[in-house]
Amino acid sequence: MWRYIVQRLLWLVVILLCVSVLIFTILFFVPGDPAEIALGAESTLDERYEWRDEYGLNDSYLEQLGKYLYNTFLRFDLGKSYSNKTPVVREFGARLPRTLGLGLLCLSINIILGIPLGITCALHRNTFLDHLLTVLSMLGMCMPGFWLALLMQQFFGAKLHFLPVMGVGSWKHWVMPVIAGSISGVAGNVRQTRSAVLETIRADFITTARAKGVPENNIIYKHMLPNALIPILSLLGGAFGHVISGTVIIETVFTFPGVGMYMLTGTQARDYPVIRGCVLILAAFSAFVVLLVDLAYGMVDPRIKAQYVSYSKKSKKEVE
Amino acid sequence: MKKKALSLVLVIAMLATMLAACGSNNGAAQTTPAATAAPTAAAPNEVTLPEGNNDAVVSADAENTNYILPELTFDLGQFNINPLAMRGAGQVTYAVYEMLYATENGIGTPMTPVLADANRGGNNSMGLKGMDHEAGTTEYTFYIYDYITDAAGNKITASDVVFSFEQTRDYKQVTGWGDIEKWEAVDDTTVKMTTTRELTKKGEIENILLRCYIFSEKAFNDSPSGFTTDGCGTGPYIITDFVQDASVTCETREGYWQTNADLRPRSAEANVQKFVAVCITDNNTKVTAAQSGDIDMISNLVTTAVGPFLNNDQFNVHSFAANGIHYLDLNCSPDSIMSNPDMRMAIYYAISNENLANILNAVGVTAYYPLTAFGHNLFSDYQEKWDTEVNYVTEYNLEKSKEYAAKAGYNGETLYFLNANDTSGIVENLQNMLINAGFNVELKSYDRNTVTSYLGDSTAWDLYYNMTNSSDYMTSLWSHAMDPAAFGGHTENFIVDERFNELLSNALNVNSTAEDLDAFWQYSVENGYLYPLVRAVNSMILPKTISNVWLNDKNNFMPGAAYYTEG
Repeated sequence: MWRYIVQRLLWLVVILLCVSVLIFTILFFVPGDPAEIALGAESTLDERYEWRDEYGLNDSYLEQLGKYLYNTFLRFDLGKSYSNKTPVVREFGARLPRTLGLGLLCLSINIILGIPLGITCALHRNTFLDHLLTVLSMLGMCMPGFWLALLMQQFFGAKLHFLPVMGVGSWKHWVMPVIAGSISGVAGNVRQTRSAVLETIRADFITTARAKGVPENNIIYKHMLPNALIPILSLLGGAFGHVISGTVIIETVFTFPGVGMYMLTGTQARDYPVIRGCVLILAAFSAFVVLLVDLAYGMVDPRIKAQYVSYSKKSKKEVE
Repeated sequence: MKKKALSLVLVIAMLATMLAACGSNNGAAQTTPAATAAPTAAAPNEVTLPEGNNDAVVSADAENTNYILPELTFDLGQFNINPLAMRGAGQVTYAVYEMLYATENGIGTPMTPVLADANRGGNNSMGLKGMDHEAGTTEYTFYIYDYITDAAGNKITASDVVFSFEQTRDYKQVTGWGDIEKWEAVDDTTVKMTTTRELTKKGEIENILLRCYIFSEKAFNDSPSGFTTDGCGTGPYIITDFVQDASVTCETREGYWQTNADLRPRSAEANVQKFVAVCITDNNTKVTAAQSGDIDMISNLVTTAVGPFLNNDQFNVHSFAANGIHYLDLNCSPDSIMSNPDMRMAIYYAISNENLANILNAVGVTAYYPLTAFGHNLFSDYQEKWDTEVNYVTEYNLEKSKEYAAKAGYNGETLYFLNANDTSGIVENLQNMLINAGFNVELKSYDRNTVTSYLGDSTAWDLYYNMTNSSDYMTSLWSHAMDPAAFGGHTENFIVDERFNELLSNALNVNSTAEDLDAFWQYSVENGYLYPLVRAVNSMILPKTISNVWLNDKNNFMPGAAYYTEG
């Protein structure tokens, strides 16, 4: 099992290398001059050339790529922002706790509400409760997050003066962003959980368990849910992967100073170090999350764990 | 049957929700109506445009009651508090740091000494105190007071001034400093600046003296972040709290160095004890934040969004002339049909600035004014006589447009109109005007940064919509748009005309006369080189406790310099 994990981590390096080359190449060919953005339209051609020279942007593609890969993978230096000359890693790190906090809160609500409600829907299939939750979850999935965010700002902020509409500070600043960020996730999770549990509920082993007189709660949580968890884990894994990158809209609407806003302003300003650095960190995070989800599959389903172990043994035999 | 009924209910519920949300628009975000709408009269709530920035006050007669407001919270668009960043948070840096000079009363007004010693110097063509310059030479001498200290108690000397200028230059966010050779400290209170040529263009000296904050070298080196997340200046405020991309808090500083009230300019006043600048870039969020009380005022809001604050018990709406203009470029290169002067005239006569402004103002407030020349009366070098001249800018004549189009041999070819996609409100109206006049116009809209990459390609566009601004003179607007040095030997719209360049150079000279400026404008009109469209009016949403505001030369609200009343 450890061998499997190490192999995956080694693949992570290869993935990050490919992502780096890809994002570098895309930015190299994207139109737009960061020098003109930094210096303004009133700058002369000479001033812009000098500015680009300072940052090595007048070098050839291969020269720039070489320097970038060397700095990133050997010196672990993601560079400094063009606009405020601060290290990308430091700026990203300063914002990460907020975005991570927001994302994890949304994910927690997603799990705490989504899974039980999905189970409830499945167990009360075709009743009024099931239909009501189905309608609500479809509403939740259809509503754009930013639209809901704007509505909540108007209602709870401007009209009722109940909650602050922007910024960070007390716990009150987190309420609306968390709600806006989690609604669609909860709705999706309800639908997925309902579907997964319904598939399992008809299985023979559940009928057998009932016939043996096992209490219903035990049937649900010890027999049904573990078997229904695989697709739910995939959904949650994807949601977890979006924890950092997916909150950009919520952060923009609520002026929540997180990673999403940092990336957005960097993209608008053609701040290449910021864009490259953020994409690379996000890619690493996403790849790591995928690995965690795969390992979680193994924990939930012993058959999958056995596959990982046999894969490792097979690889070891081939090496020998 | 049940499922069908449920689906129907669901669809109706979703539609109802969406319509309810859309209908709750309270005027915070407006879309521009189509250009085919007839011009409408201004609504009763029209905001009056002040006559130039000198009158940009809530109440022109308000005097300083010397009331110190305890706290004020407002919005901040740019969040870079580094004094080296010229595109940073001006409201904060201007309060924490000072320059050698400041403008007396905003854009286009004379400079007044701040750190520069008002008791020395004065031997220069501008009559500027604190500076000596002999005409025909490339040396400029500045004198500073010998009792300047910063918030940490560091004494500011000439070597700190030199250090500040060098750091600002090396940060590489200032432009137009290419002719400065060096700065040197002659003694503790004297700085000499040497240039490669005498600075004879209008605005060149201002571009140096009003673009560099002065700070202590020791304070800069002691700063753990190089003034990126903290700061120490000579201004009346200190930074007490900073949350990246969220907020910055400033409080008045004990022991401000300039104790002589007669020498203390308006920019150095501290009429609010504490201010909190909150990073908000979106106009809708600004409106909601003000309505909810999260911020006390909005320092910069597009005038089309002021609706909720008109006739409001809590707020005043104060409008001020933006320091820029919106204009249309026609591609004068041989690659474009617009190189034909008749074709340019055909386009110009098909556009009505007045109609355009009326359409843009149809939301009920005056957000735009039509232009009659490439500038407006905010700038001291603008000439009022241009307002009444009859030319293609002031005249809208479809018959003339058709005549010129026929003369140019226009046969319905597609004209490509390049623009940034955040300007669609104005550009679509222009497109409609031209289509109504019989032109086939296709928009090429991209994000602003991509637009600049197409701008240099003479085959990529025929028309280009742009904005430009200036913080000192109208001729700087001309320079930004038309200086061949910025575009590699031709203007932004590919004009290659020695006479045009000569007249522009004369107009930009620091000793230029009104005749020089008029000569440039008249030549531009004769050849159909420039087309100004409208100027914008920006707005501030102020609480009733503010009786008078003061804007710096970048049109930034200065919280310390405003006048407040109690309650």
